[in-house]
Amino acid sequence: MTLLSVKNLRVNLRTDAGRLRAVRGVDISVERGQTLCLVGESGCGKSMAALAMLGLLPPSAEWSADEMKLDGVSLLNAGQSTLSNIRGNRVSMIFQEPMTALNPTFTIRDQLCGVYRRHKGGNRAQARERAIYLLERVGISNARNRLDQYPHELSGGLRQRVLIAMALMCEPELIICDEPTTALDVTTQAQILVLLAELREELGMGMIFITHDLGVVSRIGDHINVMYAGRVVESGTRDAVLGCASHPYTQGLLRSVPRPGVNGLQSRLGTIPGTVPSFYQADPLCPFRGRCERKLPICASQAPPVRSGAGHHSALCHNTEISSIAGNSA
Amino acid sequence: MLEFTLKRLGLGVLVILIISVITFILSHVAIDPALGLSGDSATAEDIEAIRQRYGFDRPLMLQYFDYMGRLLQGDLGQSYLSGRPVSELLAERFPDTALLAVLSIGFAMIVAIPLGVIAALKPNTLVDRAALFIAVCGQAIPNFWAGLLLILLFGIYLQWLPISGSTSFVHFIMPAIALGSYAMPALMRLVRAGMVEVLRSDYIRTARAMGVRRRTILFKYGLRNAILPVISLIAVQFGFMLGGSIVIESIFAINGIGYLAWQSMSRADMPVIQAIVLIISMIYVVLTLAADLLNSLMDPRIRINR
Amino acid sequence: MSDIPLSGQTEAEHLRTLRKKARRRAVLAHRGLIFGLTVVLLVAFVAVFAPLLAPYDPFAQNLSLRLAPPFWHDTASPEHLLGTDQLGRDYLSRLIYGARISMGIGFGAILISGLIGCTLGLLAGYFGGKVDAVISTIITVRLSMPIILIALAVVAVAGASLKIVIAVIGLLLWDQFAVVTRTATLQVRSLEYIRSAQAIGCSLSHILIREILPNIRAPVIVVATVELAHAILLEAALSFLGLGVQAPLPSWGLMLSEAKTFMFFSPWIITLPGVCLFILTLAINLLGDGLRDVTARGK
Repeated sequence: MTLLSVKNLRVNLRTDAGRLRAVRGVDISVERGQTLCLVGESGCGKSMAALAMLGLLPPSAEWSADEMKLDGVSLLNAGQSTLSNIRGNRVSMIFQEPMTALNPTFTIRDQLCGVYRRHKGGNRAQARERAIYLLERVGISNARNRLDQYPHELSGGLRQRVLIAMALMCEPELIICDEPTTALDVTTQAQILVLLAELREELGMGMIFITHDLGVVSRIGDHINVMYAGRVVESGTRDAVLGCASHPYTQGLLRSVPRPGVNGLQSRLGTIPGTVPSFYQADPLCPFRGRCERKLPICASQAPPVRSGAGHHSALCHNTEISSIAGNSA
Repeated sequence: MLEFTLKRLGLGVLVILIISVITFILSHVAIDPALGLSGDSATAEDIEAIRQRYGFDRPLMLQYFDYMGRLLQGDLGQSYLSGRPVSELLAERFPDTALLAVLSIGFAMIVAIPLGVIAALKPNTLVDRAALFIAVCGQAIPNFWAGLLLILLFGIYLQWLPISGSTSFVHFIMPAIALGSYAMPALMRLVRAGMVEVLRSDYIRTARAMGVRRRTILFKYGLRNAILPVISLIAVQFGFMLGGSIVIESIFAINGIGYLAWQSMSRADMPVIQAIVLIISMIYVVLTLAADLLNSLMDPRIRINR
Repeated sequence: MSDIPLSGQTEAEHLRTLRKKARRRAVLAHRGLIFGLTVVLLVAFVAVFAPLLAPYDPFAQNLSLRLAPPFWHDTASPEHLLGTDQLGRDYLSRLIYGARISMGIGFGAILISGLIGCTLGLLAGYFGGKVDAVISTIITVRLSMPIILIALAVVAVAGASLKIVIAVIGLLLWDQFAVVTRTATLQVRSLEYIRSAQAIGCSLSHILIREILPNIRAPVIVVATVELAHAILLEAALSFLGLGVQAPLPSWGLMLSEAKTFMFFSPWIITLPGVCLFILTLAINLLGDGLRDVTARGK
């Protein structure tokens, strides 16, 4: 059974200028032991989508969905207490700001054991053992002594490891990582990625990985949802999306990734001109048409069709020409 | 940490010294102490005799050092009016004022902290506006007027509470409300601002994402972080209370330091006034120092960095 | 990149509408600001034109008509809208003249304290180092002294008169001006235009007064409103204790003090001056809060 299945997720943010449509009908589906990557520029709604799934949206936000099931059980009408029992227990989340995501006035032990005892009960010693085990597992040496330290005594990489350990305290079935490596330096980034991939394998968790970095996606993603302006514009397996990118936006993203040997020092890195538009009204037309280099006249008048191909590969575009997409074209 | 403590201590001592100079000038230069000491019926010769006997004709610097020397031995001089040692007068009156100040701060906190937390939980709603309205009004009500209104309401119409004196605990209820209502708004605003900031922070989001219960987040995580700046403000406000209690004490006839100061003012009993100003300043300095140290103890970030 | 019109707004458009909306709302829909400004202007008007507005001489006693209640009582005297005080003086006229005392002392005091505080703050913020250390110590000393006690002690020594009260309050309430000016000056002093003013050899006073002061006026004005309210309350407290404005001048605080013996039988006699003080202070505070909101939004 699909671990997490979300259909037609919408999130609006109430702002001074009206309702900002941050997520506009997104489908998400994650299997156990697999990683789904949500890829897109900042502001495309990927973080909002993740927060909505956990019931963590800011008070100014409102959301709706046609379906939201965790392990077959609908969460659509779940109250805050039900969600609270799930969070940190069956579904955990890791955020992108390791420097500020830990409470500065409590020790590592307080924060790790607090989560364990909140969901699993148990005594102090059990919680402590679990914390030490996980701290060691996420690669923190001298875990016993680290327990009594405060967050500000640790480096950014260590703090992110602590956060990962905290997320794993209750052996969640699903872990959502919101750009967990963005704030870290490149070496640490690589270590954390390897660690997350290993842990997912070992614990058989499902994982949603939110990032703007296609390099990261190519390393750990099984499935990819490319998001643009609150919609999924292309989705499919990693190999399909990265190998036969069919949406102009995905292609643009891929061109902007530096690759040794392909873009040499002489050749220029690809860029996508313009910025992501914000939507305050419902707009069924292709959100990318303002920046698209392959736009057709029809793009300004009709909503883009879903073109799908082998292996659940699909793209939202009038003008795709990639061979992996078969049939269905109008 | 030690260096920080010593630095703050040094500044405190310096501040007290400067204030002692100011009060000395007030009592020895701005006004002729011999005149005060001699009383109304004294002749010019009497005054001159007193001046010589007490050494008021010596250079001011000498007199100041003399004064400081006696001060360090705990001798605060004698009241012109009653002739009793000032330290004795103060010791007699201090408990009432301290009790009033503690109760006032207590009242302010009991109102301000829940109100600030509730307002922070529902920012920009009716509850928040109501809390803000209470704060704005509390700030604008002169506390002596509040005292008079309380007397009218609870003392005269309802007859629930005694309107003057300081013989029992109930005597302190109205004065504490009148005095505390002035400190309440600033506290409430600070609690609210602190809570809003903390609740918006990344680590609260982490806690929520880990399923930590709402009340744990509010009271254990939120309040603990939001309360840090409030401690400093409470120390400052406590100092203000000691100084500000003069008006309230005079209305409710509470026999404290403020009442003593007021009586001494109207008859220019400078040694008493001088001592009161000095003592209250000292308490203020000590309290702010204590608040700083307490803050650094509670906030591990400060504790390490200093 | 060609500009294809999108039905979704572009970021720039969106920001423009946002700013426009914010500005409009900031000024007009800030009810506190509008209320505060209106009341303060009204009281200032009353204070300035007191002789024209007051129906009676505020000092004229009428011992046969003492403690006449105001208009909402059945036994109210038709000639005296707000009744008379314990000496038979028209209460409305005294309250109107009281506005004069409050506003006069308030503005006089903050003029003095603003001058002292801004000068100290500018110097501390601009020079930093030792100058800053000395001035910061002075500020700490001032903060450590109990305001009302010091004010009372000075008045007790120097004698109570209008001028002394203004001077004492002015000399005591400069601390917030100094703190805020110092911080604001620290923020602007390293900015480009100050550097260029120094480079072309502008005099110190020119830099401080012409270049820095105009750029930090917003927080200073906000402090001025807070301290104006503070000064008015302090004057009322001093007068209430009998060591401020002296009888027979109609200060609201003094009126409260004189009336408190009679409040058991004529409660309105302490209600009216208190309400005046409350509303004026409330209005000034709301004005200050409003100005802070509006200037903070502009940044």
